[in-house]
Amino acid sequence: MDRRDFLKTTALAAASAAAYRLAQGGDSAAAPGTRVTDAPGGDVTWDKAPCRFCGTGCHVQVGVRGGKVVAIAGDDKAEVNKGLLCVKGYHVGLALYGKDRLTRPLLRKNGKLEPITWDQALDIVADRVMQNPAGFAIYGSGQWTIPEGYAANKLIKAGLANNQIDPNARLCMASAVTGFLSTYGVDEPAGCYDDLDAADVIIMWGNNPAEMHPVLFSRIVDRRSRGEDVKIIDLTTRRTRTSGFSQHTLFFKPQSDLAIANGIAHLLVERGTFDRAFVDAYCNFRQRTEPPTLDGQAMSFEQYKAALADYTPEKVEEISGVSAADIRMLADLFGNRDLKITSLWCMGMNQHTRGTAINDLVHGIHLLSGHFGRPGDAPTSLTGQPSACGTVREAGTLAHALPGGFVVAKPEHRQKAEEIWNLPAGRIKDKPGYHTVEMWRRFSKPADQGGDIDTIWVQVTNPARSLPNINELFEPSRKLPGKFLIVSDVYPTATAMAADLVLPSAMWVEKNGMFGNSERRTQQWFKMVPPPGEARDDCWQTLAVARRLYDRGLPGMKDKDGKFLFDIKDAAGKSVPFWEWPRYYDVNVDRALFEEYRKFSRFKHKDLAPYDEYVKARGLRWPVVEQPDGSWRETRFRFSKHDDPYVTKGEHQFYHSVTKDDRALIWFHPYDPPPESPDADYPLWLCTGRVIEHWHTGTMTMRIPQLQRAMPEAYVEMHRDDARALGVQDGEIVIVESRRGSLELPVWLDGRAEPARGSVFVPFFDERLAINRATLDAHDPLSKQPDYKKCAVRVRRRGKAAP
Amino acid sequence: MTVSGLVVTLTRDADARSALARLHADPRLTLGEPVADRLPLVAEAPDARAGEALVRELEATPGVARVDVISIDFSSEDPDGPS
Ligand code: SF4
Repeated sequence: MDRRDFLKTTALAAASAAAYRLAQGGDSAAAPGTRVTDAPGGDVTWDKAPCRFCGTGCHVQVGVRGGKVVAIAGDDKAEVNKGLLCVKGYHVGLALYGKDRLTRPLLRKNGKLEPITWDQALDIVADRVMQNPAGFAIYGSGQWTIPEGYAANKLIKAGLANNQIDPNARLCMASAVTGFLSTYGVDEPAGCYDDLDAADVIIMWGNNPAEMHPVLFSRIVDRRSRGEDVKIIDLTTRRTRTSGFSQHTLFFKPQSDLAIANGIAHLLVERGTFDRAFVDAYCNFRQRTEPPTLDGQAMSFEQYKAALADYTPEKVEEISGVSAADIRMLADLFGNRDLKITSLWCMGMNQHTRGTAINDLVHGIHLLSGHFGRPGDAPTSLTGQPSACGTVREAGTLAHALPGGFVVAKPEHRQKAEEIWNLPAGRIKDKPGYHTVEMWRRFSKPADQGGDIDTIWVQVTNPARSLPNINELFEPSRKLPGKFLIVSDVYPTATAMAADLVLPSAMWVEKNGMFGNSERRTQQWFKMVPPPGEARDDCWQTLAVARRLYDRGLPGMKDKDGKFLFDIKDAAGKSVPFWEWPRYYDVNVDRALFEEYRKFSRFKHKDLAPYDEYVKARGLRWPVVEQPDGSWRETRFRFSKHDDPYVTKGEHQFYHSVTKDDRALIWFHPYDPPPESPDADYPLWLCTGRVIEHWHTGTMTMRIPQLQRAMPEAYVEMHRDDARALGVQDGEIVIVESRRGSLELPVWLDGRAEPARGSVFVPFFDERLAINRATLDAHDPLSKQPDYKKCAVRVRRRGKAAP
Repeated sequence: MTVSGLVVTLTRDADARSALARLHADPRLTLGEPVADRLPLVAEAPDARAGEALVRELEATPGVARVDVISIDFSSEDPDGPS
């Protein structure tokens, strides 16, 4: 068999398996014919890995030849995607091979980045820590692997003991976290993707999965093409690709999703169509306090009913623009217990100054109506990044958190963490570090004006483009003496190019890794190809710095027995000097870190299996519980007796309940107007977001020629009538400006999506056209997540003065 | 040369038959066994650009409801992304 025949055989095997899955809806692994990885002949070796991009967590098969990734196929053994991938997924291998990979450490000297050695680079990082440990912060990512995030977290919380670590996931799902915590007392969805296969109605609360989670969306649409009756309802502020597949597209005014949720709850209560038995058995009612807290204040059902009384369909229509008839239609659906309803949401509800509140309200509608816990009945948040759940929420890399759902503020949690890490009592501090916006604000100020963060080490993200209001939160530090920015990355991103020290990183299958996707699924992969030049694993970078600090005598680098904080032993029980790069892969560092981290996972019933179980699987959903026969069983539906082994009484048990009585909380939150709305000077709403071809700030996907060609630059999408009123043509370059900043963008009319009259949309994938110069840094009071979805802007033609 | 694995979903109307005949006759395509209205096939094109154009052409064919790309090989590709 020659190479061409081999490629054809494998491609046909992958396509045949996928065709079987698409047609039958079942497991394509059962499809007749040859599996892609079993195809005879050829010099390509195949192994599994999760896709590098979004939080869906598809698995790919990676084909490697001669130390290079040469082919990608959907993994037909993977339950998430059953052999399918989206346009980004099947190009993921090319993300490694942009021609400008960073291959050497670089130090800024006289304004220019110049190559230095790794030894010098590690010394510089260690110097910065030794100079001022309290002012040293790590800014990480939901793209960190779990061991990378865990190591950085331990370095900061157990080693430097200043809690100054926060990830970019603060910007994408922090409100989902606070919503789960305030409703169930513990984070992450109760349901999983299986709900999408069973639901009769799927409601999109301000998200566009046809572009952002395309494989999940096709899982829904495929059911329809097989003749199943699935109703898709798109609650949105702009017409998107998702709208094109929906039976009902309900346009709402920005921020008014709270009023819609209250309108549905009002009708359920008013008509008596809520599920009284479910509510009586499993729920309490709650209202907000001032200042708001996750616990809130108890309220009775009668008080809840009275609070909702204002939200009549007509009143909600006035606030939201969604017709009273459609509000009634939504309430009819929730009032029907014969239907199974799944709600999905992502950034629309999370990037919201009332993010926690709207998350609470959507959970509340499901609880109130009893649409909870049966397969297909679920309120489910989706994440944008591949390991926002695994690395941020579970490994606890937020400024207030510890691994496994612990928080620094609780003495019993700190004590347990100190036990697991073998630290002297009191090492972990109770005061949370700064959340993302605050961390960067303090980095942007001189020390004598409250700027007490003087060094930030950024790993695996691009804050120069992804922070909101970058003119205020990112750029000032670059001109301030005494501020030092370290960036570990794979490409010369906007952040790397603004850094004082750049560390070249290995990416994806150039290193071992583990991710955790949106449905509590922990995934594992092995290194398959070498990184280019002197690029090295982020985890190694963190551990090598830790070792330098230990060698220099920084007290926090020792445990209570005086041993190095990260002591990893080989099979013979001998400590391995993995901080020396040539020795790093003498031992599986990921396995060692994961086995330590796993000890945290039991306390909040987020049990993880041993590392080697994940080697065999295409991911497992926690809690993963050992069975009497020694096998490990994952959990699909938490808090429900039919699947969750931790439910010991009743059909449902919320065993981490805020009220400590096994009940979930149904909250009332009023609608409040947004912090900034269009006015005479800035008459348009601005919404930002993604497109299917690109991921995050485009630093990887813009280097994949096929994706770059398909969507080469950012644009401002306008309604044709707004463009006509301004005298603006399709393709014309205009100025989009807010009170915080401006940029020039080409106009796209009648493009892929259509914004409502009076609003514009700009994607953030294009590093050259940074829309976050214009966005607001106003954030939710509990989650601290900023609102990227609504602020006021104006659009003007070039050469025409601002009014 | 790029080799891609695709699944073409045929429409449930009379156009599907003519689409099938057209796909059979196209020398760039090797067809697999259909499963109901899903047809697995392999598409060969001289380079990535031609491969993308071929997918677009298939999508525009009467009788084709949808095209899913399942696998791609890019071993002969010289990445030329912007730096
Ligand atoms: S849906 Fe997300 S995880 Fe799946 S292939 Fe596409 S980008 Fe990758």
